[in-house]
Amino acid sequence: MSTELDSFSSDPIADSVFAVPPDYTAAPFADLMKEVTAVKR
Amino acid sequence: MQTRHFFLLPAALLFAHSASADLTLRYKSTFTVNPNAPPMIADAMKQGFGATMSPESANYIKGDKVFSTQGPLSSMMEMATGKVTLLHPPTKRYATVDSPGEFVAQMNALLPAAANQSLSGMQFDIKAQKSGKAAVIHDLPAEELVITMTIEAPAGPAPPMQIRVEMHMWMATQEAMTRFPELKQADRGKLTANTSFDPFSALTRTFGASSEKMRAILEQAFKTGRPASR
Repeated sequence: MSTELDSFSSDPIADSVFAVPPDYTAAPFADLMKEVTAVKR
Repeated sequence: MQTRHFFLLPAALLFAHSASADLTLRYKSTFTVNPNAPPMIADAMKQGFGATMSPESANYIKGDKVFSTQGPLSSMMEMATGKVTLLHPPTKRYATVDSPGEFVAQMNALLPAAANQSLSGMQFDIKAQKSGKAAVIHDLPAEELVITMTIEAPAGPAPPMQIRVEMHMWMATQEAMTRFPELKQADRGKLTANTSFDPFSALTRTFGASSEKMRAILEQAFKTGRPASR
């Protein structure tokens, strides 16, 4: 696996980036992790 | 079998002049399987890494907050408190854990008991040393650190197996940190300092008592707090 920096920026980032969007609903941690392991093969 | 991981340091901020500047780092990833790997292993790696790895990822850092995107999940971490929030944009759901320790515990709980038992039966050896190679990445002086990990699985239902993993990490030099103090924004050591979270302890707990050597090596490799891959 190779991971390489593609670009970087020091532009200001909106505070909203670090907040949960208002239309999201809470779910159990395990349920979200299952979304990762249930990717299509 | 040998797997190489090449990381490029988050060489940030050619233009920024303030240590408190926001920081956005975008990465691209590729995944290839060693052509000499046994077919069974190669297929497993393709289905595992290949199916879940995202070719693009990004980190957004603002003060003590970090927002990361990679694949179907995004995450937010507050360095000051250790609070971690996972977000799943496709279904617009989120989950929050109050500390990185709780995050690791939740992850471990998801592993089948058989997997935990299998991991604890493996033997690990790990070495870290500077290769002597140096590079300038986006005007930032960096030096290569090679971490080599060997994993031996004892014979069981399956034949014994040895896996060797090499991680090539480009670390910012002290000179780089002096010239670009903004890089400290990407210092994950802040999390340890603020929350008493010991990521190496969590890692070694996962891999059993034989990995105390791993802990020592990793602590030595990262004790400077210099940013590496991300």
